[in-house]
Parts: sequence; C-alpha cells; structure tokens
Amino acid sequence: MVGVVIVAHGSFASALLTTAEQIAGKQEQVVSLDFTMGENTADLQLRIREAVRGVDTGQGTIIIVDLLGGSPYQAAAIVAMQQPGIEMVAGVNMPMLLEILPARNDKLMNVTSAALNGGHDGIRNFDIMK
Amino acid sequence: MGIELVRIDDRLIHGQIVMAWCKTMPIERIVVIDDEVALDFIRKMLLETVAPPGINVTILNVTQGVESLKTDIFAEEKLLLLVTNPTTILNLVENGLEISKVNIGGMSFGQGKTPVTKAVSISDTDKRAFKELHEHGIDLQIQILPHDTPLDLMPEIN
Repeated sequence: MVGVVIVAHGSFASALLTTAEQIAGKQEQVVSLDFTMGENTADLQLRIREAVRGVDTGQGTIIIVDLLGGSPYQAAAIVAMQQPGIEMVAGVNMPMLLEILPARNDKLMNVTSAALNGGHDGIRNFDIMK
Repeated sequence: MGIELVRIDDRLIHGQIVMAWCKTMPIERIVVIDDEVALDFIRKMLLETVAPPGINVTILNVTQGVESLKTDIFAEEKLLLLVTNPTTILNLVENGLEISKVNIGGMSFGQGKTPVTKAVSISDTDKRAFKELHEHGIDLQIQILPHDTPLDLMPEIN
C-alpha cells in the first residue's frame, strides 16, 4: 500500500487527516505534519524524511502539501528530489485526500493521478440550472 | 532603483511572501542575496519556480548583490530584497548600499538561538549584526505579515 504524508501550514494537516478519517475510517500508513511558525525548514525536511520512512513499505509514498511554493512544498520537494519512490502534489483539499485513501493499493503513479483528478473534480461552481 | 522592502526571512520565498507581501506591495522582482543559497542548485531552482506569476527572481551572492544593486541593473523595477540573516544586510551596508529600514520576518529557532518572538529567534552573531545596523541608524522592525503591527526590535534584544 502506498504511504501518505500530509504537510501543511498551521494545524491544517492534522485537522484534514482527522476530518478525512471521519468519512473514510481510521487509516494506516498515513501521517500528518503540522508546520508551525518559527520552525526551521531544515527540521521540517528531517520530519518529512522520517515520516516517509514510517509510512513507506516499498510501494512508494505520496506527499501532499497545502500551498504551491510554501515552505512545506519546498521542504517536501527537496526530499522528493533526493529519494526515489516519492510523488508530491500541492493544493491538497478534502476531495483529493478522500480519492487518495481508497486508491492506495494501486501503483504510486495511479495514486498520483487519483489525487490530481480528485482534487480538481471536487471543485465546482454551484449552478442549480445545470 | 526602487527597493520597496528589505526583509530578513530564512525561508526566503514562501507562503507569506507569495500570498501576502507580493499582493499588498507593487513588487516586480525578488532579489535573494545569500552566499549559501547562491551555491545550492536545488534551492535556487526551487526558489525560481515558486515565485508568484509575473514576478522575476534573481538569486545572487553578496558580492554580486552589492554590484547589481549599486550599478542600478534593476533601476526600472520595484524590488523586494530578501536575505536570511542580518549579517548579510550589514555586509551590503558596509559595501555602500543605502538601506534605511529592515523588515524582520522569520528567523527560525535552532541550536544557539534565543527566541525574541514566536517567529524570530536570534544567535549571538545575529545580535551583533543587528546592533551594528542600529548604529548605522537603520530602522529594525519585526513584522511577519503586512497587516501585523510592526514591533521595534532593539528594545526586545537589549
């Protein structure tokens, strides 16, 4: 099963995981990391590496981060560049995570596609006429 | 040359810069000055890719930074000057660059550092550099986000 590491500013990552588990049930091989004000990005990189080690059972890991260009994104990008078997997707939302969780028995590449599709498809403009 | 903001932030270009500062100030180019980052291929590439759309990024070492800023290469542009620590600014000032105000954004906690606020921790070297900058008459203010009330640094570290 593909491992999941969620990294985000504030308490978004832990809250997102807790919330997703309300719908998808308790999850194995998923870790959330909260990046708080004053934390060193080198420390964050270390925490990400450790988290990946913890959730990866050889099938690879997908790291999902909140904001393109933010510190979690940059720290995760460095980890992903230095180590094979890691995919990284930015812009995590509930629909994305809820698509990833049940898709994790598939190949890493397909989990990434599920993340991208789920994240995009979950954003719609409400129009009662359609 | 229009330096709109000089900021110390050891995360350099990140969420607060992209989503807050560059949206409230008319920044056209971010100039990162740091000897270590200028040599780090991966970080350099990342910083170049994470800048907000329409904003150029230049990453220079201190020597290049002094030269470029003094020769007005960026004369037509509104700049955000970003460094990771006050020593770099002191270097720029001692090499003749005129800076009147420094925004202190993020200096993360680590070994040998003393917390000043939640987001700002300083080492002894940082403290010495800040004191010298203060003696140069430079205004030093902690302000994480544009809507935060600036906090004068010197009374906090004396």
